[in-house]
Amino acid sequence: MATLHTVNKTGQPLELCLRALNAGDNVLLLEEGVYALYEASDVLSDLLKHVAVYVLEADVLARGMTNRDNLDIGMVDYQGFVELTEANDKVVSWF
Amino acid sequence: MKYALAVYGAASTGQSSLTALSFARALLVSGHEVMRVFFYQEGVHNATSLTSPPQDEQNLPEQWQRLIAEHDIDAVVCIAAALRRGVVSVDEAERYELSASNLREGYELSGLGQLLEAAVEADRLVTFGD
Repeated sequence: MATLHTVNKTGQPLELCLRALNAGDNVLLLEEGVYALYEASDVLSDLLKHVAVYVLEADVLARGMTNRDNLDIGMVDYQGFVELTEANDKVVSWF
Repeated sequence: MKYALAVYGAASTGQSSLTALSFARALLVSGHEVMRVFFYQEGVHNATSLTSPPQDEQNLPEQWQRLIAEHDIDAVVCIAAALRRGVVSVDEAERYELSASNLREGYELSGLGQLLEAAVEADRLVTFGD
């Protein structure tokens, strides 16, 4: 029973998400949440030991972000977002 | 698979309405069914027929309506959230003796039970909030 967690901003939504994660879950950073690539890259690198983390391509490009710290994350488009919802049994949105 | 979407954000205040619309389009391209879109809280503003953004901006409520009509999607707007924000159907305008109605064609005002039902019946419920 894996869950996809979408996180649309850093700060409290990301922090609450971290508390609710189980090993094997997936996290998708979208909208302002993609700023976690810079603001929370240390948190993300810890997180990556237990869950797979993805970012939504359109939101990354819109904000001029890059994978500056070479984190082991996946970049998905909306089709990839759909595939993540197929692969997980539930979707929880943190906003 | 059968999907239900819950939209909590207005087109004018954040990105979630656009994200939800883009996700809905991707679902349909993938061959999934969108059984219901439930507009809740500020999301009810997506159902007004009176938005007139500048010509070089997207009219998200119009784009939602087109998608909903083209794919015969059940579009439900939370009645309590809508009435307190001035999104009203012809029937509700009459009931409350209001001067006008503005709910887009193809949408229905109903209760939270419709969201609960969608959560139970759909294979996936995906929520989009600001």
